[in-house]
Amino acid sequence: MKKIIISVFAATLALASCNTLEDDSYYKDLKTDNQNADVFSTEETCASYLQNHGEFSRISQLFQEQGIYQDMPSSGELHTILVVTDANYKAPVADSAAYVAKSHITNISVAPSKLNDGDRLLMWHNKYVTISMDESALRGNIIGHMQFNNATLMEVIKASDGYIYVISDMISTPTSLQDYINGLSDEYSIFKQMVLSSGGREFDKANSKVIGIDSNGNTLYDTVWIYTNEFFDAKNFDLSSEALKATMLLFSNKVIEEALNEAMAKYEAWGYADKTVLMRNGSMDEVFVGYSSWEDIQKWILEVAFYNKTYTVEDLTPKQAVEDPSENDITSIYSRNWRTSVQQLDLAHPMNLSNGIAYNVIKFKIPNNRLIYRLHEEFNVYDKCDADQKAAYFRADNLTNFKVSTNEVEPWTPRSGYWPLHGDSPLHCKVADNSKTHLELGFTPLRSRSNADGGYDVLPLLVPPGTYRMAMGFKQGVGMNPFNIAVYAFDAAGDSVLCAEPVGLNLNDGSTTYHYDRGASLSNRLPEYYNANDENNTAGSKNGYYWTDGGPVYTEITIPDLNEDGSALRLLFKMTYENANTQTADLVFNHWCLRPTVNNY
Amino acid sequence: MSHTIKFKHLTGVLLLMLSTSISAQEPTYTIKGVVLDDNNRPVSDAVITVPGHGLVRCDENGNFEVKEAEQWLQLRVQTSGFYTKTVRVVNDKEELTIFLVPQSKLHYNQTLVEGIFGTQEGLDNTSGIQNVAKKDFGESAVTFDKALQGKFTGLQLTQKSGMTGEGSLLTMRGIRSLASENNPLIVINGVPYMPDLNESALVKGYSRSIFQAMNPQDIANVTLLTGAQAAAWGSLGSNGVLLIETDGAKSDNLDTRITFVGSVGMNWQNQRLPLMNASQYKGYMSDIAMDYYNHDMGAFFSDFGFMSSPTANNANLYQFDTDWQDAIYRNSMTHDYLFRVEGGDAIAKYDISLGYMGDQGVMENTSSDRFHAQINANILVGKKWEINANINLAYLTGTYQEQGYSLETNPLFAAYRRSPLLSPYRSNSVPSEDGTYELLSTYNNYFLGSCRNTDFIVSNPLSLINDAEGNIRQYDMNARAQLVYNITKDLHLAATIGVFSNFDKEKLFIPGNDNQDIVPRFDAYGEINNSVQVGQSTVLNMFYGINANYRHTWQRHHTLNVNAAMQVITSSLEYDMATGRNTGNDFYQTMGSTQSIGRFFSGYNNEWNWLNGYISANYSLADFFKVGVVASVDGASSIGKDASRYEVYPGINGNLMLKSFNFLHDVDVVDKLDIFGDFSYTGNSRFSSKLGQYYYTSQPYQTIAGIVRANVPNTELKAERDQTMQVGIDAALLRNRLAARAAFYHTKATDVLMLGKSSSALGSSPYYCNDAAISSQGFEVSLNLVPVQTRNFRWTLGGTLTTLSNTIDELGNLQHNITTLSDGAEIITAVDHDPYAFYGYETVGIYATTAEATESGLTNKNSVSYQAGDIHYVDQNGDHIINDLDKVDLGSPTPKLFGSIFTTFEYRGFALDFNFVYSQGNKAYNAVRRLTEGTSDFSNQSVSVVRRWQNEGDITDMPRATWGDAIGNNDLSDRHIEDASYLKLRDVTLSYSWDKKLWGFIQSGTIFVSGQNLLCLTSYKGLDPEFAFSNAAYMQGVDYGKVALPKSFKIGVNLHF
Repeated sequence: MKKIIISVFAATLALASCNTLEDDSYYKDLKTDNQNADVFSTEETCASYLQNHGEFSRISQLFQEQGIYQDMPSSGELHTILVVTDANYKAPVADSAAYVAKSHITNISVAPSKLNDGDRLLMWHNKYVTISMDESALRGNIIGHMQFNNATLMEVIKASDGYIYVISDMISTPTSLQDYINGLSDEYSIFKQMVLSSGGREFDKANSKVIGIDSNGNTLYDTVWIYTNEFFDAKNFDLSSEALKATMLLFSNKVIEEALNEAMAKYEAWGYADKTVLMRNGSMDEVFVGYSSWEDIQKWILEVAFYNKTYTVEDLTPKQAVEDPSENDITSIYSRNWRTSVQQLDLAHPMNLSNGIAYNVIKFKIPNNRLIYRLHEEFNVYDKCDADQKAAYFRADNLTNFKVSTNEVEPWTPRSGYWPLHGDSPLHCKVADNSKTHLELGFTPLRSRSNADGGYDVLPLLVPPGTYRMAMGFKQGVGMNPFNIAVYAFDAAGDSVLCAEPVGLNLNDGSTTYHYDRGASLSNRLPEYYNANDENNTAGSKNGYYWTDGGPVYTEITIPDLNEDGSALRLLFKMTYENANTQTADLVFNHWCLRPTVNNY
Repeated sequence: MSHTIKFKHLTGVLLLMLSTSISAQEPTYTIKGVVLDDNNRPVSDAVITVPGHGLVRCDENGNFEVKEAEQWLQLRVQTSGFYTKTVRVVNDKEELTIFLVPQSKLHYNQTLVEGIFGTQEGLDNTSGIQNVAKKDFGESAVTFDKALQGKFTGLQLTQKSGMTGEGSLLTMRGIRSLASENNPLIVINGVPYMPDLNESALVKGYSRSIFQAMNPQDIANVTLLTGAQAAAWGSLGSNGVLLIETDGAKSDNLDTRITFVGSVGMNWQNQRLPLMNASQYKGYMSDIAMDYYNHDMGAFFSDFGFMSSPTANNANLYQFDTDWQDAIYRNSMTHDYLFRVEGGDAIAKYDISLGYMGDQGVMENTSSDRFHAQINANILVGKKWEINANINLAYLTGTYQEQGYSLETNPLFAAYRRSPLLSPYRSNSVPSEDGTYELLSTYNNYFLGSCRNTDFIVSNPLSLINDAEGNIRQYDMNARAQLVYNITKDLHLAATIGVFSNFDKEKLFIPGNDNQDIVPRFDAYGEINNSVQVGQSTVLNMFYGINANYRHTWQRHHTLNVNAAMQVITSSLEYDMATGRNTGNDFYQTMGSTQSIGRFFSGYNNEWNWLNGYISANYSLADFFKVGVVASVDGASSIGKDASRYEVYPGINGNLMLKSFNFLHDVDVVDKLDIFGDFSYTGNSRFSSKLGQYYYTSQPYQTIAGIVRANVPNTELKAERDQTMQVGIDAALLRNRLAARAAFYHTKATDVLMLGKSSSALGSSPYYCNDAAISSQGFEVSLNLVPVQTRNFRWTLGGTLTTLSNTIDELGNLQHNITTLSDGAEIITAVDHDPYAFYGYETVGIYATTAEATESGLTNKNSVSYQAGDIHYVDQNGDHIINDLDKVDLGSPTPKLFGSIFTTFEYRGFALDFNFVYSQGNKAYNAVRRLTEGTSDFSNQSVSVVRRWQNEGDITDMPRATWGDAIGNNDLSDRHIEDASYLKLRDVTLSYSWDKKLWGFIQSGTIFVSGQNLLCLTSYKGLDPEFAFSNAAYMQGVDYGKVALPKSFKIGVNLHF
């Protein structure tokens, strides 16, 4: 009896160790039933399944030869493998066999339910395979309705260590943008050079794996290089990243040259050919600033060529009958607009790349708003005119005593040594007869050019048709409100047309709106390239006053194409004041400015 | 109702039979008899006390003879080793066979605790009372509450957790109150014991055991009062009264006795929540990453290069398959030693015990220790004067870890959620010559390897275990002094003063400032990198009582027993705590080092007073019947000033002892057959005195903390009122080899305190009112059977069973009340439902296909349509939108029945004892499973998630994995509510006892080996179906990741010198 009692006690203790949750079927039975014939489940691993099933013998052999099976770690790793049956197998060329083999496997296990239209699998060859699904696939019917790049899904096998997707064709992998650019022919040398010129390589310590220490005690790394390109990095746009979904416009040398020639012809026609003036050239006092240099054209091409969205042919087909032409614009990573209704792309031959799409540019124009930065002239050109010119271009009524005041605003610069000194020498005049309330100045916009005699040639400045923002500068607080301005354009026959309803400016208040060229009420008023917040600027809070467009006259004024050939036109600014009296102060004219708008394309 | 059937008619019949018995003549008789033990063997040395006739001794064959005995004379048969038995002389019974019950009989006790006057022996009591003596506590019980588990019908003791020192939750016949105390009143040596039952405000999920200061070996007897007997306790008695008598100095044995009880045990936790291993986790990670990274594998591989190639940079950080649960558990030791000296002389007796208990927790860095002393003295200061004094002193210390729903600081949750791919320790950044990366001694941080994305962070469980800890120190004193004046033989007076004092000091420090191991917490004041919390509480309860007892017997068969008392309790409870954060570094762990912002104080205090007067009277006629009445007048400070302060609580009880009637008198097979019943009112004033007054609570604001008004007072709050009716039968057959008790009870609680809806004009502060009503009813059965008994062998078998039906009858003008828990789960208390039921959606499975999901036409509350792999919720109202209107009662934690089963095999000195406890029909909310089957983030998941829906057509019970679970697959539903019924082998003990002298100084003793909690039969899918979050009733059945009860093995001795 004693033995029985002790044995029962011992048995109870022994039984205790068996009573655990791991034995509960809830935690033990980890399989799901599946009544869907689309997914076949096997207990085998991916590798053994492929090796044991004859219909996959050819791709299995490829995997074997290229070391895919050896590189699949024996346990604990999961895979997604794309395979074709022998009937659909296409042997790769010898030197790309490894690349092709790797394009069929990735390291995580992705169930079909986790694949959505547009998803991409990053394969061992470090390229994406893109999934596309039709409506039927989105409703769960994936066989025959899901594409892996070029191939259609035929069968899904759930193996113990991942998924095998049987597809209709071998995976064809497009190259990436970076690779595509690298491989561009000489036909595209200008564009290729533009893209690659600023690239560099840096050691990425954070992502480099430490592999040991050398005899000097220095840490050795399995070095990871980062390829940098300041131009693209600034916009987080990595041409070599497979994560990118981009659009690239591809400019051949030919189209670039054509566009450049066209631009030069326009300058010629507008009379700007001699004005290859750039601020960087230091010619700040010249009449206007335009983009005629190769560097600037090149910069615009590069800035307009890349988009961080994959645009389809449909996206790029211009919409007809749009109210606002900018509705046909797409905006690049550098916020440059490509107007599909103006520019021409080869939409019949899009080039699908692993991380985007590329279109060839058939023909393009450099937009006017790029060719012309702004037209900006000071009234002190008066001093460069002879008497006839003064009478013709400064047609005054009830105004007298015209005089240019030299350096009324002392020359200054926000950044000494980089930006030239700029001062203001405005044109002054007085009311001739205080008993008349009307006064008027009919001013023709002019440009001056140094001549061989050491003097100046003064000519009317012709303005190409299109839309502009107009601004002007006077001296503040001259007591005139409204000071009326009307703009006229003259056709080749000398007939004039009023371009816009006259406007009245308030030159009465004490603000700086119209004060010389310090007008603060317009955005984008500074010369391009100049950053008012640049830490190197030395003038502090007055940086924003530097040589601005001036106070607003028209937000948008359209210079009509009177000659219907796009030729530039002579303008007349008719400025009047109707309440002159003895109290009327001197009039001080500083400058005028026309800046092309976005739609001046 | 059936239980009230024709009681009147039955009573008439019984009285008729009774009258024939007592209307006989008054001749004298010569009574002959034999005294036998339960094995039919004669008891030779029994002494029969015959009032008026002196003593009679049995001869060697157990025979005796009493001459000239009058009718109704009560013979009292006594001998050592047996319970005293009384028999009466009745007219037609001159040959008596008297069977004595040995005191060693298991699960049998004739001693009742009678409160202030100690214990009463004999069967002269009401059968509605249950009692347990020390011998049935089990040799192996370390704590008193474990010893009590399963001993009484109606009383359910649920061990709260495996965290050392947590003890048990006590509930009596279900839930009867929604805002007041639900636990029975505990009375130690006649003095109510009212400790702070609140959960620790510092160490989350920890509520200390109310019996932690006691050693079960110091307890002599426990009696449970329900119904009329509890009515004497007025508004404290509604949940039953547990009367405890400590081992006292009242033995008639005047020898000096020395006892040593000691045991050493080992605890282990081999139960683990089955989680994904490294490979399974990688598969899950891929699934969830496709969502998180918006199906961009490049971005995923950029963060987790190892997933694209095992040789990728930092892949060495993810090469592990860590079982984090193994890392936080340990095998631990338990020590329990008690040394007792008792003795004295006829004038003064003493009983002194000194003990130490040390219990290392099975979770690393947890432990509890108790040093305690108990002194009992009984002094006869004069012929009529007696002084009784007891004092129990204990010093308790403990180290604890956080439990409960804190993902950042509960080591269990961290262990469940932390990726198995990671190592607990950092690895060297430079590989060794063999290319492997050596592990350093510093802990790994909370990031998911090298990825610094804070969406994926999980605390390092090892860091939590070893660096974070809560310390609690308690000084506990429970003392009583009593002066008894025995005016006459029948009249006694007693004056008692009791004091209970507890000082509790707590500290919790959670590091995290110096290294990123423990996930920071956030609140309105920003990030909590490390936190300091300190708190202390003081409880001082005073008790004053004057009691009188008059007991008189006349004409040998009329007995009147009257008790009367005036009792007063003054209780003072205060808890103060302060919390602060970001001490600069983890070395500074004081409040003074914390940032001023976010530092605030909190706490609670309550002054609670109670005054009670009662009188109870019992009249018994011979052994035929006994009737009693009781009435108390009772008032408490918790009652509102505009309500009636005092209430009367009456009760009646009756006991009909059929064995004395003619028709059973000669039926030897029946030893006892009692029918008992009672009807009473009790009350419940055990709620805070603050509820009926304005009170204030602390609230932090920027760098300061202030106080704000906390409630809308209801000055008409009154005590809850409980009406209890119970009837039953109590029988002993076959020379007490079969004892059974069955009873029906019905309780109706009215004026139940509940959280009402206050007018919006008063703000959103809580408002309590007496608008609810709750009823509970059921049967209680206990059985004790000795199927086999021979000279050397005895097999005892028995158990208890309580059925319970607990229903909310009224909620004022509300139909339901919903409580939202910290994880968003909801608990509903609704009319005609069980209290505190789980509230959520019903499900019918998972949509296997897109077509199924489309066909259902259902959307979630955000109008998102369900897809294949989502949960198919039941659209209860048919509006095709799954929202709050579709939630239903998913079951409650109230068990349908519970109890215990025991069996003992005794052979000579050997005994093999099995004790099972069970609970059936109780539901539990498995929040741990809801968390680990959430399939919505990068944390590790239950292994069951491996069978998640992944492919069109998958038939499974686990939904698809989606980052963030926007569709709501993890909303609370019947998926998370489980049947937590269980049958558990609470303990099995093998012991050997001897009573021969050993080594010349050990007189007798017992040696035992014991195993606890070894087997559990359950379908519950958590670690253990037996748990209680705290003493709060609404949190019952909420499995918030508490430490599961460990298994343990113990060896010990009980030696008498």
